[in-house]
Amino acid sequence: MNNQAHSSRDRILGALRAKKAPFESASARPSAYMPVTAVEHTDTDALLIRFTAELERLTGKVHVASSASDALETVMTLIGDDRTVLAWDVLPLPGLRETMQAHGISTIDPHARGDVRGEPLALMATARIGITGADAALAATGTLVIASNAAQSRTASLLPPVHITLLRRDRLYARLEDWIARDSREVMNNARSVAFITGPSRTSDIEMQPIIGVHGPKVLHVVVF
Amino acid sequence: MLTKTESPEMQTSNAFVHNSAIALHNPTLQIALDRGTTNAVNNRVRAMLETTDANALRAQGRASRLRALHNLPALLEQAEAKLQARGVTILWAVDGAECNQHVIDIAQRHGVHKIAKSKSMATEETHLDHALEAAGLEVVETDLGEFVVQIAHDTPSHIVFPILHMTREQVRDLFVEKLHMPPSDDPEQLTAAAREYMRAQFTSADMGITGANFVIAETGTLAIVSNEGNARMCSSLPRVHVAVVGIEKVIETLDDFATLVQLLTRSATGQRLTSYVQMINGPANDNDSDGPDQMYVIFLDNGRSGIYSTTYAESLACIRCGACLNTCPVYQNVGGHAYGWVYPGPIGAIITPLLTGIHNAAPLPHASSLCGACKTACPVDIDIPDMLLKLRGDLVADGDSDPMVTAGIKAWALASQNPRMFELGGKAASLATRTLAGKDGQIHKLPSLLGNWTQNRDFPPFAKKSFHDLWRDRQSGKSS
Repeated sequence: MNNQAHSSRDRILGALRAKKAPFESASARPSAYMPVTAVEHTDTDALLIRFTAELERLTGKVHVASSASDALETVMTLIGDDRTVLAWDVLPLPGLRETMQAHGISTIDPHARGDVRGEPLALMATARIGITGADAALAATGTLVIASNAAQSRTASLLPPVHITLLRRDRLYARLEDWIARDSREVMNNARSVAFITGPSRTSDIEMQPIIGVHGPKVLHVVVF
Repeated sequence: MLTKTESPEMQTSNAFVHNSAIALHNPTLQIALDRGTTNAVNNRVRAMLETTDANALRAQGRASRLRALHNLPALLEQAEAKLQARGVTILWAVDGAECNQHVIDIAQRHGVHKIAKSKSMATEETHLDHALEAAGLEVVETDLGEFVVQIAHDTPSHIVFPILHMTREQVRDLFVEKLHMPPSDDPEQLTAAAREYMRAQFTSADMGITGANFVIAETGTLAIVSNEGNARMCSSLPRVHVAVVGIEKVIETLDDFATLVQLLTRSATGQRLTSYVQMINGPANDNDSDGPDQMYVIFLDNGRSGIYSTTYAESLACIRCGACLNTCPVYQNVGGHAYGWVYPGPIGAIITPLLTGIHNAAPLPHASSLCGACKTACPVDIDIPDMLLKLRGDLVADGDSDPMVTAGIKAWALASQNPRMFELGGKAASLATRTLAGKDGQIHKLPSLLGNWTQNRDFPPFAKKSFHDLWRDRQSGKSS
């Protein structure tokens, strides 16, 4: 296969280089790109208001906690009577793991690698609630930026019908453009997968009528602290 | 009753006129098209109007695409090197058959039985599902619309909304029959039935197949845009992930991506961003708790390099938002299947003849009134009407023209050189057409060979008095 693949590679690149490349007059890369949306106020409070408005428009629920302990209480209330959750190994809210443990709430092992995955994934899919942190949030679009790594599983934000995200206030950015300019290269270098999550899972495939909750979470909570 | 269309193996672009006539007389399709395209156009316009400056952004997005195309081979190599460095196997496919064979080889090498697939137009081009099934593999389309298409043995009729041609009642009948769900035409119930069915598929699949909306050369990243979450499932849960990507999808930097992804979502569905935009840089790291162990990217040519250095290179800038389909008065009336191949609408009328051969899709460049709505809607300002005209020119130069039209144009050329003959011809046409007009003042059926024109539209009669007559009357003081 490799020989054939290499010859196809040469054929395709050769065909592209055989004649003059189009759009020689294409403009040079701009030194600054125009952002898609305008954000007038970029102090944290203003960004939080914008983020909340955007996400709630998409049925996401934003809970602004006054302190870490307030955030902890909010998360425990959201967990309710569930005694099993799917959660990241490392959660940004101090004391959450211990509190969950004290309440008899266990977490499902998020390990699903190698050849045998059906069983662990099916078990993870039984959890009603997934709990994750967020690497960043983008106010103008109501977006969470969530990278995957050893302690941050992909499934926790994907399989359960309810997704609870713990967001530190200092992770708010105005726009996608701002996150890209300031933080993206480092995050992208360290993670094999980075998800921008903007509201719950949805579809408009049937007569373009929006329906919430197709394959991913139906309910998205963001606890800001 | 299910919507039954042509076999997916068969391209029927040359039957466009025939296909259109059937579509125009299908009341269910007309309802579905009306509901779908109206919503889509309104959503796009609203979303573009709230940006900083819609036209400046379109120009910025266009520049990003044209710059990327100018540097295409170097950017492909850059993306390849970045991805390879993280353990991604890069394969190249000259055509659909080679692409499908790559996927089958990968499946066999890794002992794959079941494949969960997310929506990809590139794999529609290659008929990948049929090739995989023929090789004994089980493949499930996991996008709701594509799943409906799969179980209905249908083909998608829109590049963003695959079942735009179907009503909710048709989906209900299909789910009652195939998923044994209790009858309901509530889209919420229908979606819930699909979610339940698909869960088991995601967790048991050995391999996931996706496309990619962009490949960012700077970082070696695939960006996949979706709303349902199925693309994340397909690229996160199974042990092998294969992405099939057209070679034109490469862009330069993350900054280009920021503009283009937002132009894409706003133009496609009117969303500021879709629910999910996933950036994939490679297979899972060794210590990641989940994610694919193996990852492959197949760069698919399938005719694209043949367009690259031609006057039609601009068509490669398309980011597949579907805005030109939704806004096109032809698409709004005939739907996607009439175009007879994977890409319908105005952009399809260009790339279908270019990718499949102009004589396999000769009617498509004519399937437009050149009203220009497509260019205005295009987030990267592709000059679709201009390319449609050029394709018409190519067809004529290639001897593919209606002899009646050629004769007519010759007669017109002759007559218009002589004022007396021109006026006489006008008088004759005026008299003849007014005799043929019905009570509503329109001609519903032109005689003999001209009848083709009125098969699907009316013809207005010529005015009683020509401009020359009116001018003469005015000069001599007579009122009409």
